[in-house]
Amino acid sequence: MSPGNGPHRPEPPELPADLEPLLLEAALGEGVPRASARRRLESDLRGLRELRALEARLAKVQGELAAAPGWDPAREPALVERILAETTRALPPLDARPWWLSFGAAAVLAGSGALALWLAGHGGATEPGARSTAKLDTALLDLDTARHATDAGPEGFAAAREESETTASDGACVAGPVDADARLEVRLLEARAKGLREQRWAPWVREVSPSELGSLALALWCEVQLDRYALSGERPPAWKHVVEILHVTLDRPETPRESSKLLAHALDRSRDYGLTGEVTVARLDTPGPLWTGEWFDDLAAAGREAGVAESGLWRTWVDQGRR
Amino acid sequence: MSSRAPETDPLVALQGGDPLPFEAFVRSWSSTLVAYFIHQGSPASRAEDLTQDVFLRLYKSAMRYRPRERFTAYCFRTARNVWIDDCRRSAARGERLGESSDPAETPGHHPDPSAPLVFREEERSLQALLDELPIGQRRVFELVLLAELDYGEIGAMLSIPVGTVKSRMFHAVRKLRLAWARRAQEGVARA
Repeated sequence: MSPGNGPHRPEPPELPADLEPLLLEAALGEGVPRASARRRLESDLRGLRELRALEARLAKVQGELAAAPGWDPAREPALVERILAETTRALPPLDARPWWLSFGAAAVLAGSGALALWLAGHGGATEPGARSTAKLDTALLDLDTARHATDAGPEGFAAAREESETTASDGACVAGPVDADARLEVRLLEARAKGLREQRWAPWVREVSPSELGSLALALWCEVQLDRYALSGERPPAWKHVVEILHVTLDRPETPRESSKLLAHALDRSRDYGLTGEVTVARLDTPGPLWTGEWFDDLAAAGREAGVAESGLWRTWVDQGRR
Repeated sequence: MSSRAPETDPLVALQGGDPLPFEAFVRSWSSTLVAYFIHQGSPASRAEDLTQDVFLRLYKSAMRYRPRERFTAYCFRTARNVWIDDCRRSAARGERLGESSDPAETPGHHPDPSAPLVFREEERSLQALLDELPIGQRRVFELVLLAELDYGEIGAMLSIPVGTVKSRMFHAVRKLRLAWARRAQEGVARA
């Protein structure tokens, strides 16, 4: 076509000696770069041949990969039936709250009461003796409630929750609202219990500066943030910074060895959720229980180190949580 | 490559009380997930169990699920987590990955003597080629072709930058192309 006859279309640039990047973009890329790469390759006989050969080969490999070696495809219908029988055709309806969460929430509920009582008794606050006795009784009642929930599953949890709320409404339950001037650890434990129990997250938790927290408070604060992320999908703010603080706190020689386990647990959870590392991933499925017996083991050890284990109530609570 | 991604998000449909998209997804992707686990090194029977585990996890997570990505990407991320958990459990039991007491369950073993010889040859050939790839390149290559995930989804799944995904795919395809060319030449020479 001579210049002046119709619109001028510039010739595509000559193909490079190494076709690999263009071929990959043309076969597996997306959008404009893919279209551009295809146009360049298709304008040249060698490029076109190579592209067609690669596409044919990739399609063949795709088919070969999908045909799992060692697996008889005739088993597929039985597998599908088995899966459907376990899921959509199963009689129990979907339950948003896994069984272990029920146990965890009930245990935290009981734990927050017990810890509140212990800290109130040992943290410098002056409590009338009669009130302390009432709190002890109520905390032990909470432990029974937690045990009941564990035995009975989600339905048991609902009953336990109702029972706890009734007790709280009587004004004698230490697991009820914690005073605003209570120790931070207690308030964090209560925030965690409330989050697990009701999926309601105390807004003040996000206003806490993690760099100013002691190791136990920091570990509890992280657990609340990670619970919230696992259950609601809301990413904790500035988590990279928090991870740095966790690392620094762990590296400090003055950080109690046993408390370090709680901090390491928070780091592990963070890693499991894809929140730690080069790239952050919005992972919504939880790889394991939010609350496990091992956590109570570590808490017990940290308590021994801090001298908390001398309290009989603390020991009772930890033992209950381990079950 | 044509995408088999479902039009309706199965878990969103489940939240709305409609199980049909989930069931359709199970039907169309169960064999792919079995293949995925076998390519990770699981014996066939274990791969079936793991596939069932993936769908169970997806189903159980339906009520707290929020669609933030393509459903197939979410599914394969769950599959990868299931596989990692299984590896941890196997390690705790002292088993080695891909080890099976039954040789018939070893990946690549075909007990059916009536299977076409050519197919088995090709299958072995592909397995051998994939085995030559470094593990990182192989994972990316399999996820692109088997799971039909895009580079961004694979990067999020493997916790690596998209540039690294592209680079691994580039090198994997280059190596495979060289190997295919070499084999083609050998075939011509033999003929």
